[in-house]
Amino acid sequence: MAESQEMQQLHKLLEDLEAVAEEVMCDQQEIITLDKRRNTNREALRALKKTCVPKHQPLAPEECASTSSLPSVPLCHSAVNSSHAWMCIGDMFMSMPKTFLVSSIEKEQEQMDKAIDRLRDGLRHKVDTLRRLEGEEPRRGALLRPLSRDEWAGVEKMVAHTK
Amino acid sequence: MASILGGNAEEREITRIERIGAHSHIRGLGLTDDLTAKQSAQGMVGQVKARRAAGVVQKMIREGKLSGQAVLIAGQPGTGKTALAMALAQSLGSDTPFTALSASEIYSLGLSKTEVLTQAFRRSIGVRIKEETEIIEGEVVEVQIDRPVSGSGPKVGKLALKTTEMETIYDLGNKLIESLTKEKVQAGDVITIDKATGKINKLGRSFTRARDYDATGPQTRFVQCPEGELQKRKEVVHTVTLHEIDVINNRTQGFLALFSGDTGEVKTEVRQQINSKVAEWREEGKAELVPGVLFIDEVHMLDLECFSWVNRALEEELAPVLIVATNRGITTIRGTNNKAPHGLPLDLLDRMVIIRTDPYSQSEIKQILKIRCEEEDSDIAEDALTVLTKIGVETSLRYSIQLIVLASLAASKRSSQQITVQDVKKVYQLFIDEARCTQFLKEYEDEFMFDEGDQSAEPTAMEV
Repeated sequence: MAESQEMQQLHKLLEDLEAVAEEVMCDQQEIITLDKRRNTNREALRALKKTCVPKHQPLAPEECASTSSLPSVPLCHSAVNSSHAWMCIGDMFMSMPKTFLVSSIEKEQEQMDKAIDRLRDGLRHKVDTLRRLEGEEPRRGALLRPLSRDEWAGVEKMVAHTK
Repeated sequence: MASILGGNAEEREITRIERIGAHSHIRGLGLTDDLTAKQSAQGMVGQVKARRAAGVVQKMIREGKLSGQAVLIAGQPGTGKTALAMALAQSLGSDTPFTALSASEIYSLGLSKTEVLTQAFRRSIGVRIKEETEIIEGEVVEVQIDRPVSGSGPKVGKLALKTTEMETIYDLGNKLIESLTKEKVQAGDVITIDKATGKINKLGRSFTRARDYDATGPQTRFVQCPEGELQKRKEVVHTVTLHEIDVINNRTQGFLALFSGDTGEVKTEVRQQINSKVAEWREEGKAELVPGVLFIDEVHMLDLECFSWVNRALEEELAPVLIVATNRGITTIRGTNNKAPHGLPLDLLDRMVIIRTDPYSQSEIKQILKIRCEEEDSDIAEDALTVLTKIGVETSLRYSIQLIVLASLAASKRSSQQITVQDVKKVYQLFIDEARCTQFLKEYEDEFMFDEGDQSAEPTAMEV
């Protein structure tokens, strides 16, 4: 009976390990997806802002095509100065006012930044648990909070010296 | 011996020349997971009990349980006290600050004794801090910079970056264009951009572009295309010692202080300020203290003032683990006329955990000599090793270790690869050991200059 108990323990350990590993991988993928989205959004914002300024040339057609496959990415209208731009939602293209587009994308960016930060903070603990389950030593100083920029400026010289 | 690889004059890389020191063969304590010492491992031979004890000490240091305590390693000369301390330092890893100090070093003209000791104590306490930066890391797909026709005026540019997962285009500002041109970034480079400062760092060229050119310089480093997201968060954990923080903050000229060395005393107020700042960081979860190890060799050379200072310093909040070593028996405490075991005051001795090292046995001496031969790249014949061991047993381990280098030189003079008995005999006759030296002096002491005859007249008068 003793052996079966040991087996159960092993089973449990492996189960936990797999679960945590799965979570870590999911989170990593999630961060990647979010960052991808963040980058396309940033490109869209830049494109929108450019078209608002009349002296700039319209964007090249292939650039529009490259971003159009993703949802909520505005497609620029050929008429540069128009106050509306095309936005692709699912299978539909909708013409929306640019100011609305800009503000909604900016809002999404903010949310995405927050989501990524939250995921990263969570990952830190999850990776730590994973290492513990795998029987490795915890990473040193992993759970420290970073120094602020001002504080870091003071310490930087010292670190450069120790390297 | 030092070896210089690659004598090509055009090669710029410098091969590190490592001197082979007396303890360079030691890589760790040579313990198994349950702290039992293997007879010979990681360069350590024998001393099973002492090594096991050192293993326990090491484990306690790791867990931060031993700070503010002292360990004394006591034993006859040549029984591996320093080796034990070195092994302990090695097994603690580079992350734990380890300061080695010889007790005679505290007698300097520029600094007071306690200042030297304070600096050594603070050099042995690490502070772990974390730096966090947002960076953009990717392989450059394309850089496109448009210069205005007139030659001056703002430039516009685009930078396409990719990772294995994604690709994106950045519009570049003037400043970034400048640093891109300065760093000579081109398509195929893997770069990082610090988001806050805009600093560009070239990591190398992507492997996929390795065949772009037929000839590449030796400096070209090939790296994998980065994985995952483009905008990453980079966390670096640094360990700095309290002494380094002291030095930086003690001087107005900042980093110059580092080059002028550690001369000059650190003001007490500066130390107090730093202590409170570090305490504040600890409270906010921004810093961790790493109590390190301060090793004082030949500790009997410290005098009574220092001992009482150490006594008090060990009780302070920020104290490292103090490891001291001595080869003295019952002797006078420096600065007094009192005799005490190991030349240490009894109250200090009382606070110490004592590890004893025993003299090596014949087979252990043989093993050590063998390890040393390997370390010094000398091939030695079996019978020569036996002779050398015999010399080691009869004279001292140090003497026979020194003979290895000499004998290998003698062997190479004969243009032989291997050290034989004949080489060992030759150097044994050329260089006398301590016992023979003493004997020689006893026989001929009248013929030397400034002979004072019987030396035992009043040696205590020389002290203090």
